[in-house]
Amino acid sequence: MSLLLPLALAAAAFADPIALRQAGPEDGAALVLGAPLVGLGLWREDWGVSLATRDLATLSLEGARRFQRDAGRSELQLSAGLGALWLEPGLSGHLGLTALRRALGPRLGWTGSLSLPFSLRLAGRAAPGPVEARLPVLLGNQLQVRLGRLWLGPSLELGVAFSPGRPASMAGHLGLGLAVPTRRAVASVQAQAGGLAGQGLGDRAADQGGAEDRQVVVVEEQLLAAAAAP
Amino acid sequence: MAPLPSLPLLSALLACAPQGPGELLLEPDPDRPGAAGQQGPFGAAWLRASTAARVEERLRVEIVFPADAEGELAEGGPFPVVALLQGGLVDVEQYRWLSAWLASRGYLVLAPLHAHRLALLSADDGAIALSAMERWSGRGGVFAGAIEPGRPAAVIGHSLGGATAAVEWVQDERFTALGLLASFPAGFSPVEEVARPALSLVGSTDQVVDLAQVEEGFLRLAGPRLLGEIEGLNHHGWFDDPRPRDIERDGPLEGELDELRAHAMGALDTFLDAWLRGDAAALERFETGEFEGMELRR
Repeated sequence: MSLLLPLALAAAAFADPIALRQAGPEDGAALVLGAPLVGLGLWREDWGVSLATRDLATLSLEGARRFQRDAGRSELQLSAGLGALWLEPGLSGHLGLTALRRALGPRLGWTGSLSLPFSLRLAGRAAPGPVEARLPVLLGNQLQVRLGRLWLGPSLELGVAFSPGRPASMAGHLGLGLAVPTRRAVASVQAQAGGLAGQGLGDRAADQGGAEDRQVVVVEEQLLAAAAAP
Repeated sequence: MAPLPSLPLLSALLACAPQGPGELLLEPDPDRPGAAGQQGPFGAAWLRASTAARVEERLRVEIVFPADAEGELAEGGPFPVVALLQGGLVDVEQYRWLSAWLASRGYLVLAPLHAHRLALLSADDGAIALSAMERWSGRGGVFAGAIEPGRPAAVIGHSLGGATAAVEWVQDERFTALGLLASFPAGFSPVEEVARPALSLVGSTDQVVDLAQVEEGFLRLAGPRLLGEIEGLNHHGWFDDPRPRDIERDGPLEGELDELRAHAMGALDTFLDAWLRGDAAALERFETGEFEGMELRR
């Protein structure tokens, strides 16, 4: 993971904050490193939380609810959240709708997605015009290979972003997704995330945090520290 | 875990306007006359800054500005703005000769760094860069007082950047003037509905852009307009350091590049002086005059 971090920090261009929808159908942690997105998502049962930074210029916190069918092969996610915008100070609001379809074998998997992650500037002003909003329509694919308890694989999302009163632009994300579908990892990461996901899980983390879990936490710390830098 | 700085502190740190000095491309020289087709007396310096785009994206912009010998903003502002949009797969740096030329004549050039060097994929980056410069101009830093918001601006683009410039020009009325360099408006861009001025320039030996399409696009322009065909200029003559593939697919340069560029700039300078500065002599020349080294159509 330490090798992936510089790649993530060097990323620049275009994308949309996702981490939760990269995760598998089980509870677990999902880390997305790519261009320009860096995100961390955590699931417990059907509820999740994600923290993502784009271009190291924003930081968004989103909560999500998922609805699964076919033993997790089909899924609908609804998400909402808030973001801090740093380049031109402000706040953003997020609403997201994602439909997923998975095919997971013992060693290989694939996830396809259709996502509409709507963003709206709630405070501050940057773009021409009084309202700044962004609605990308994204098609995504992620290949997944299972290495021990880790699901790992490249992800690609491409689409078009619409903004009221402005020309459409390209949106997308190229990255590497890592998912750890174990309750132990979830508990540990959430405990270290500063209470983002609730107090109850922290108790379990104190009992069960292991070496692998700490590594996830270290990555998260590095990402947050990097995000805080200009 | 290292504590995150508070949001207000981050905002204060990151909202700072760009700081100088810029890196000099051209020393100031009061002996340069700055007539149309000649560099002006200002120095030219560049720096890059980032701004927010489309809620959450980061847009990097190269700014080439009239500068003093130290690379700070020159006296004599506020300066009119020209947004320069790069051609497909051409780096912004490759147009610095053009940006420096314009800056030496007292124009502030904003060159957005489009994702993947494809301007059409984000066809409002020029407008976003202009908005950012309006804010920076109102703050401290190297661009304090650099421009006057609301003053006419131009958007010009080379090749694919020209097609994108037409989109921006239609979309945003702050862009009074449109400059098409070896380019033409895309069919989906309703330029017929815009009565603002436009200039289209193309080289006579350009083998990349279809000259018939350039002429067809020019005829769609509804406002004051001028089409200039520069004798001997090709497609990659508009930018520096062309790659082998740029040269292979293009026609030959027929003449000295500096001279051919000066011919092109004679028309572009006149166009900008007329519509961004309100120069009456330039306006008359734009409407009725001749330009060295090019065939004209109005």
